[in-house]
Amino acid sequence: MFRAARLALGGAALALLALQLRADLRGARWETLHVVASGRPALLSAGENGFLTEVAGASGGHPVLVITGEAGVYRAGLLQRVLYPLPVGVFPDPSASPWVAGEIRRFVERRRPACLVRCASSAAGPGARMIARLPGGPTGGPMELWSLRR
Amino acid sequence: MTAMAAALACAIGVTALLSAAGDLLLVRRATRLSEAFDSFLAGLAAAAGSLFPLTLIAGKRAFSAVVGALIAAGAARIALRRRLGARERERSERPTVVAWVTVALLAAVVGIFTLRVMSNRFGWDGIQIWAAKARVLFVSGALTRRLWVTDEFAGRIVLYPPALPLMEALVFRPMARFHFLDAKAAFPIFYLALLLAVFRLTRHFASREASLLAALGAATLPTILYGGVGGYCDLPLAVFVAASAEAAIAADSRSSRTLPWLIGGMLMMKDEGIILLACGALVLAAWRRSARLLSGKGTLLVGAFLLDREAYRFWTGWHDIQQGPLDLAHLLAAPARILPVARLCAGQMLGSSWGIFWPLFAASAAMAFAAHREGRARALAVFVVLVAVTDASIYLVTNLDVAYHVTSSYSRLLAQVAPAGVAVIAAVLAPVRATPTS
Repeated sequence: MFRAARLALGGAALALLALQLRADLRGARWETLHVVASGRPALLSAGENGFLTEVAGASGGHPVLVITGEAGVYRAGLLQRVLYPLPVGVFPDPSASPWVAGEIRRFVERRRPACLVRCASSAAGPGARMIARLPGGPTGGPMELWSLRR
Repeated sequence: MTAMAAALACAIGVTALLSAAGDLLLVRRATRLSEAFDSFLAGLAAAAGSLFPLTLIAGKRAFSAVVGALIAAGAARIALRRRLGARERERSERPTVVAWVTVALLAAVVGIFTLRVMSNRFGWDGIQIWAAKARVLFVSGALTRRLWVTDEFAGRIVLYPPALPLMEALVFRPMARFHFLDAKAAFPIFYLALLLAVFRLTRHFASREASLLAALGAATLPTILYGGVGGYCDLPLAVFVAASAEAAIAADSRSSRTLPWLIGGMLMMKDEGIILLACGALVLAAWRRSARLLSGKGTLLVGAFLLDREAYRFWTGWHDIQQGPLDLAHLLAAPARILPVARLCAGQMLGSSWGIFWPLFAASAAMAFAAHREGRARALAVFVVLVAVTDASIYLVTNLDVAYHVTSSYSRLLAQVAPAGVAVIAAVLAPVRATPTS
């Protein structure tokens, strides 16, 4: 009984190993071709690079509040914090978790942003006025520029 | 490609210096590749552990002080090579065809991994947390309380331990520039270290061929591969876990000197190091009630690493906003989350990124107990299960959306102990019990 179970497990383990190895070798073949054909990838896509350039241009150098999806927070946050130190506050939708709303409030009070960039399905809030549609958000989705100046 | 090749060469040089430092700390001369990697891990733990005290003492010269100490360690290691004792080489049996073929496959997967590291972008945490922290360390020369120009989301990242950022920053020191694209150059070193650690761990239970196959199995686990390629910290942490488990199981004079440094390395690598230490200590306390794995000095050393970690966290002034605190509100909300979290975590374990790995592990662990296999394999199985359950319990007090938090991180947490799980599978399936010699 024990021997049979061990044989069955051994077979399953070897099958799993073979599948993993096959996937690894197959993936490597395509990646080699890709590297040979196109060189190393850029750290950031053109869309990611363009995102904050557009936001910075549209805001005229004034602080900007960006509300975006979770992936957008990471991407835009990285660009803002590491590569382009712009006065941009990037947050997920305040409904995503309790501490986000407080963080947004603190950013607004401290920096007094001129615009809100709304990506994904986040809400602009009452009284805000849409002033432009931009071609792509930090993850390539639709992006709108809203004025917060009443 | 030339820049990445140069970064890879620098990573190998830094590894050699850290290994030399480890040799001095362990008062020995590593003569085997596996010993050299053990010394590397000890050296990295020591260097990372010294970074915070040096930041307090030397300010912006802390990073330079670490670099200077490593260069001095390299020179001292050469000067003292005759005085440091080396373990005599044991005669190993002649490799079989299966062993040769598996070694060739292992060499191929290391090559493939290196290619992937060079040709793929970072994962988000890889750059947002680890490489970005490395850049800040490289530029500011010390640990800092603030990472970026704004601080709204950066606090959590400040708290993360410094071992991986230090390793990534050290790679660029000889080049006198930091480039994000090449910051993953240290990962092929960690990958190779993982293969060696899994091989040595499994060798306690299994034949050489089975141990090589186990190393191959761990190396090709998709979550290990893609996490490593993305620059995530879970691969380096998995190395420390597998190496610590090996040292705990060996329980000889060599391992009792190495183990405190390896535990320190876990604490300096990632926040989950504390969970791994607690689970390991629990299992060891139950398994080896009478035996002492750590000497008095070793216990003090682990205590020093713990103190270092906590002092650094206190100094930053930040707290983790992702989960907790363990106040009444969080504790009251936790019971209602048990079932959803269990369901989500089980979903991750049975998802496509793991295939049948976890069911296979569960069946092997059950067989290890049912067939009264030796205690070491059972203790290792209990450790893996305990870590998996403890990691899952974090989500009971998360401040993020539970489903989002589990699906974005649990699989990576499992990757930290999966290589040890591979050793459990091999322990049950391997027909030969052999002494770990080669």
